Amino acid sequence: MSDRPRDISSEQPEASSLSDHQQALAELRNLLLAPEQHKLDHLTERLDNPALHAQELGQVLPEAIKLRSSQDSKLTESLAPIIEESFATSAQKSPQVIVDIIAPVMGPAIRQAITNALRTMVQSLNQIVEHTFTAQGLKWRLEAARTGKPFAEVVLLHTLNYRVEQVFLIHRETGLLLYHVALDAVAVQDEAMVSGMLSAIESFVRDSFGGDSDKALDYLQVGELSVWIEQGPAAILACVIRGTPPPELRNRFQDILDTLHREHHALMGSFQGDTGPFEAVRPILEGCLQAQYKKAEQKTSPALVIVPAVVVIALLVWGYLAVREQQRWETYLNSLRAQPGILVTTAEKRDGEYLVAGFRDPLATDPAAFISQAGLDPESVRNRWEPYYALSPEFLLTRATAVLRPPESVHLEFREGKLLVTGSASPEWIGTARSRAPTIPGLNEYPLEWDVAVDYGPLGPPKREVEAHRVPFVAGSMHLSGEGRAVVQAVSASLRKLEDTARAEGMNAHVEIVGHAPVNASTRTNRILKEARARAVWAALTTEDFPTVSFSATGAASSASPSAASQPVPGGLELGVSFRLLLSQSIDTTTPSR
Amino acid sequence: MIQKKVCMLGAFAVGKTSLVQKFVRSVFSEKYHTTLGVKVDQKSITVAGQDLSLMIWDIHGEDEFQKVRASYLRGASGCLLVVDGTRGTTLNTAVSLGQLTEEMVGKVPRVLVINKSDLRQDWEIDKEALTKLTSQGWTVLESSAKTGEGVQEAFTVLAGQLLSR
Repeated sequence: MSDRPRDISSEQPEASSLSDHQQALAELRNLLLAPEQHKLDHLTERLDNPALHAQELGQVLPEAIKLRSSQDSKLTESLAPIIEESFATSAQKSPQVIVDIIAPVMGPAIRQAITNALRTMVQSLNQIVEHTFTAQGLKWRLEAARTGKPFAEVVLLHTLNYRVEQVFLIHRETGLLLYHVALDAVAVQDEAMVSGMLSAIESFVRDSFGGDSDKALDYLQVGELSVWIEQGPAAILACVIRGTPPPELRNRFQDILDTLHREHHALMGSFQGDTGPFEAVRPILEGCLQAQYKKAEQKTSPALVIVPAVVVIALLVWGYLAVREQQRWETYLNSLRAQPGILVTTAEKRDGEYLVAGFRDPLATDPAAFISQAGLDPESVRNRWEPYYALSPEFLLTRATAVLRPPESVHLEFREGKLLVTGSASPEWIGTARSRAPTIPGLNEYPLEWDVAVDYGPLGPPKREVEAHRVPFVAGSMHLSGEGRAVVQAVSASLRKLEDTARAEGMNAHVEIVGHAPVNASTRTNRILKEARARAVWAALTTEDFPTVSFSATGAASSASPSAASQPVPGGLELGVSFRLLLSQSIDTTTPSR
Repeated sequence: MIQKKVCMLGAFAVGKTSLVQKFVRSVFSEKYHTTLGVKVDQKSITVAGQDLSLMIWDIHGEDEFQKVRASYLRGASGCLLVVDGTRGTTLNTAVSLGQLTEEMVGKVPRVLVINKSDLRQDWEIDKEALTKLTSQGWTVLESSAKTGEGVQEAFTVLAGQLLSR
């Protein structure tokens, strides 16, 4: 260090000169190196600014990854743990995000898996049911018991044409197993060893017998199993088949092997022992797992026979019942229409039941009786009848019989459009019947003729005896002769007998004494003569006492008593008096009346 | 899992099949069964944290009447050349088979195993010969299928070489 004082005055110009030099140098530098300096500043900024760094890296990163991935797998190996860790962290922090991402993929896959499992289960159940409860199933069970084979094997033996059970995709060069698929039901053991041995055998056979590389082992038979081997440039396809496959199946295998080579050629070519990537060939390989079962005999399903048969039978039965029902219905209607006193006005089927309406005479047969006779269900027939009086002769006859109630001695019948009442009856019935006759419904339409004789019962003979007497008179005389008096006494005797019987029967008798005269006499003379003769006899008779007999005397009408006039009289005398006996009532039975 | 094909090579009756049986199934039989053709076995092992499946092709022994078929070696990733220590000539056979392997599949990992170490007192192969082979780049190990000595090691060493390629 020097503590010598500096000469400031002399240093000042030197400093100024230096500054000028520096400035000049800077200007010179600026003139010479400005573009380079600018680039240098820009590069410095790019290096020092991370944001620019990231921006530029982002532009080249995709291309760089693509480039490096095509060269080797180092980048993949480097990124794998980072990605795994990132994924695990993300899954722990936000599991829902992962769920949302994989749900669309996993959902269908899970559904597909469940569907397949269910389908398999249903098919198994169907087979179990079919093979367990049928005669064939029992037969196979017996066979299994007899041969000692498992039942499933026996079933398979009888039902299987062929089934590809396992498929090996073998690397041709190394004999290593690239991928293997098998049916679920097939027990698989050491598929890698099987693959190796197949490859070894194939090599052995080729060396031993083939020699030519084009000729190779393509078929093995082991009991019921056969192994079909298809050769490809990089891989061998070995399919284990149970049963007898069709030759066309080999084309299928070859097609699948070709597809595998076409789609996974690079994978096979670069195979170094890692079989992980070959998971991608599974869908294609599964195409080899084919099976064909013996077609069940084309038995017509019992349902296809039974159901139509039941339908036809049901239709026939229904048709038969319908026809029978219709016939019964018509039988019923015909029966009704044939019945007198029933008039059907409406006959129809309504709401499942029959309706019959019309008019019915109370005397007609009850229609309900015909329902059962026709075979119809009484519950299914509804009758509605309006009462009326039928005018048919039989009904009128019945009705007259019911009203008149004739005794057995009286007969009612229709003849020539008239109702005839014939026979004999007591005077009481005759009187009652005559009064009731006009009340018979419908009788006004027909003439009623009475021809009923009065039946006097025990009084009949004495009555006839009395009326048989004729009192003779001398011609032109009004006095009783001797013969006349004798007849009057006979009449008295007869009246005595009559009176006894009448008394026993509780009846009264009236004797009408009728005087007669010759028809050729003048009318006035005759009338006087008749009445005189009647009074003469009346006087003779009433000399005796007849308590229950009354008498009357009258002259006969000029045109009356022809029967009495025609009666003979004794010894040349003429008819003078006759008798007419009336019991209880004076009824003229000879005059028809209505 | 990585699969590798390895071949057991050597003269007849050197103990190739016995070594495989001991390694794969841990069994040994005094009874001699000659191998006809080839027998393939598989064994999974873990080497340096890496799972590996070894497909072991136990190829019939070679003698003057029966040569090893070259087609068996195709695709092999490595081989175990087995020598019967009690028969000196089997070493020559192993060496020639090693050359055959190289011709067929190139320079693949190979391990020379001097078997029957339980009969070491009867060995015809001296240390010098082995040292010479080691100096030529061969991996030489000793084993006994009967006792199990060196068996696991032989396969493990070979597997390690397979993975390190």
